[in-house]
Amino acid sequence: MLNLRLARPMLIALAACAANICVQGSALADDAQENKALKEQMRQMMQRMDSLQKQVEALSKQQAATPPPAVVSAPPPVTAPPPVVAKAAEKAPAEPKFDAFLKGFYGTLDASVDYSSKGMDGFVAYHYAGTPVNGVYANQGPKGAPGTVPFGNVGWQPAISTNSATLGWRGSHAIPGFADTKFILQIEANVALTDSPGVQTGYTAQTNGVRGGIGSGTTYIGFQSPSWGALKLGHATTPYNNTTRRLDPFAGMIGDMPVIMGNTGGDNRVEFNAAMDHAIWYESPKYGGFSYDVFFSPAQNRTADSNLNLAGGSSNCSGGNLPGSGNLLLACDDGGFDNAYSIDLKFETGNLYLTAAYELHKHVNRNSDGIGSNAPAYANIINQGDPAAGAGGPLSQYLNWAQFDFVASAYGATGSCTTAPSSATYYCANASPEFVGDIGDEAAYKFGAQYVFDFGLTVNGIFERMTRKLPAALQFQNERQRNGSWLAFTQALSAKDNLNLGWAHAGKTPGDPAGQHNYNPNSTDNSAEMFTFAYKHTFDKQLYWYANVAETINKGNAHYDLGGGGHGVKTDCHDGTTTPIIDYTSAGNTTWGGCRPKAVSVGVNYKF
Amino acid sequence: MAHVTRRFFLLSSAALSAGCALRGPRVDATPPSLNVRQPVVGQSWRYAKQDIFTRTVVDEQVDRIATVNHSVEIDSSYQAAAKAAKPGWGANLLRKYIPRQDHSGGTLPSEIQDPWGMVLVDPHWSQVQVFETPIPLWPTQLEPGWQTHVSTKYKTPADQGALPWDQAMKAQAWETVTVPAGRFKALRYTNLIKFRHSDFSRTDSVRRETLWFAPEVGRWVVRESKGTYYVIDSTIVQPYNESGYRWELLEWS
Repeated sequence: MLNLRLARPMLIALAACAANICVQGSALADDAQENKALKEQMRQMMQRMDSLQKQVEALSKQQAATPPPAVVSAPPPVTAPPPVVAKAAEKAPAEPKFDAFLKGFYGTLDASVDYSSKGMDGFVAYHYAGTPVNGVYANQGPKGAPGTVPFGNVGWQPAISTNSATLGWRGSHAIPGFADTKFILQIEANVALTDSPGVQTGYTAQTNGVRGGIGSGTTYIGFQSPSWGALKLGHATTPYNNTTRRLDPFAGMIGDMPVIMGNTGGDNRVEFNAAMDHAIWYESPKYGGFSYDVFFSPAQNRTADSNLNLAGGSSNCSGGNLPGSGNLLLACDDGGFDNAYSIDLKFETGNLYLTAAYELHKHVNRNSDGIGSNAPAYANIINQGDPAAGAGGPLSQYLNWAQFDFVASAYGATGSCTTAPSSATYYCANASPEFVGDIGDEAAYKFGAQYVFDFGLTVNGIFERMTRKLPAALQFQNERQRNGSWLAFTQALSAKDNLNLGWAHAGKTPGDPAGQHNYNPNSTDNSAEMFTFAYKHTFDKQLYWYANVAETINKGNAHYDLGGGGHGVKTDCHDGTTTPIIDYTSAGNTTWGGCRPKAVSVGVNYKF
Repeated sequence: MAHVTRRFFLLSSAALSAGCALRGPRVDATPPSLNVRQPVVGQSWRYAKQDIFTRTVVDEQVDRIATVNHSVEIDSSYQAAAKAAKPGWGANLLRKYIPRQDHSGGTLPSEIQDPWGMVLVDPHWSQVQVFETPIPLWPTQLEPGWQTHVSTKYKTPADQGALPWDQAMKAQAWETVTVPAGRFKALRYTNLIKFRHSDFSRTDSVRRETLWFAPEVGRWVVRESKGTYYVIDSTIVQPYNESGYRWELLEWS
């Protein structure tokens, strides 16, 4: 809406400019050609002034209940406004600052009714051990009860879910002396629409993040200019994530793209889709269709591994978990990382959109991956012995025997867990040491494309490669390195309806930490597919409802879920096992590889 | 749930795309007389303006040529749509307690073409836009396949900063279109617009238009405009819709 206070001086300035051109035109009357050009300029300027004046008048009429007709023929004088203008001003909002404040609010509310199954009926866990013969470990038979089959209700179950609901406020502030640059700010909170606000810690993920807390969404302050771009400080998702957001028509649904894409280990946490704390980033303007973004989040951590404690000023480890997640003592070794960098490059022309992106997480600590591992390779490292007990081999350096013995002592053990009588204590009999050297850089790059056909079909595709650098001795448990692919189609059926089909593929990984209760070391293919289908019907520009059907097909030991990314309620590969004590043996909630989560979800989305 | 395979998925996708591609308006390849009606002061067009999502008529808009010289100025006014729905019980009694808001009609900002067929001031979007260089309102060559690409800047009354505006116009096909004003042979053309909105938080702003231009009318007989955008740096991951409208010609003179 046109601000009358700004429009008036603008018109005066234009009039002065026109007069100036007129005077200059007289002074240069000798040159007929130039005079003609100046007259043309003046005509154009006057024309623009007239048009802008009419716009002012028309918009003034819309603001006032009764339009003042006199304004049409009487442009406001330089010094004092005529009574009709003053009258219009009286009818303008009495508190423009409050109006501007109200206009700053925005958000989305999204909730769905889901009906889903974990798809693990009939699963049986077998025990594999010993030395492989021709690469095959011997099946020792089913594991003992009660862990032989999945525990709890793993079949079809209804749920009501809040999905990426957000309430935010944003604004800008003119900086005196900087006509081209504004101070900008945004404060967002995730809204707990169907449940209570609070810490989001459950039996499958532990975090100190408070849903509903002010700033729990993307929040920043910064400076922005149409000519040089934007520089921002805050808490936000990264360019790697943002640049392919538009290639995902299932955002927030249970069959969402991040179930597979950007998700290195399966399960509910999506490593290359997360918001990062304490970040600074730059967003470029467009240069002939090209633009780019650069993002940096320092570790802010002074521990020995640079990432074992909370980053300064944060409530979580970098990566989103709280210290202690991963069945360890209060350390960030369930995916905590050091500095993080993210960059994207975008190109857009006509119906085509192309993008490339790269993100690096330095020194990602996954030492907790060894705890409770069912991998025979891990057992073989343990079998090399505890150096504290006078044993040990070349691989013993990869296990944290010192810490293991220290914790065991709290449970009543003396000396090494591997020797009697300590070996008979509860902790020694059920727990196992964590890794020491399971710290490596994790990186991802991807290429994405979108093309919109004239007949309403939108095709989206992404190829992604994720890597984790590890010593060769630990590659057997590297589940973070793989390729990924995404293909999605949206066909507009009308202005109000569209159909969406999506397929995501997770490639094989070099190894697996074998936390799955039914881990099979003989399985060589842990790839996965996710198929998702959605129909959307738009009521108006703000409101639509949708129906989504999705299934994730995990092969071998893979354990990708449904709902990873933006959907509130996840349907994952964990069964319903619970334990009454804080547990360091990974006997808690049990993962089943090869599960096939499937779901039907109907929801409604409202934006304002 | 049925087992879904990659092959099933790809075949379904192809079938869906092919099926949808085959539908659409009737194409009439025969071009009409290409003599476009020249602008004259007093020519007018009355349109029904519909919300593109709800299909409800928002108002009726009358565009009338006010001046013709080097440029063409078209004044616009609107008349609120009559409420056709029968009021429910109690509505008449309650009406006297509801504050009266008179939105029966009014004037709109003028459209300025400079020269004819090239828009300099375009009021039909949510904000009036003044372009740095005029951009075509309809194909300069009325033949399917013709296309042009314009990169310019625009300003709005709310933001005097020059913002980028990138528009691709493509003439698609001659089609026979029936609207309340009659049956016309019209050239269907599309606009794909990528631009930076004056609201700094909007990103990936895209507008799409489909128009049917009838040479004998000298203006479009149907115009559909809609747009989407994302909120930059937000946890809101779905696109927002702009207001979208469809104008249908009711009468012309």
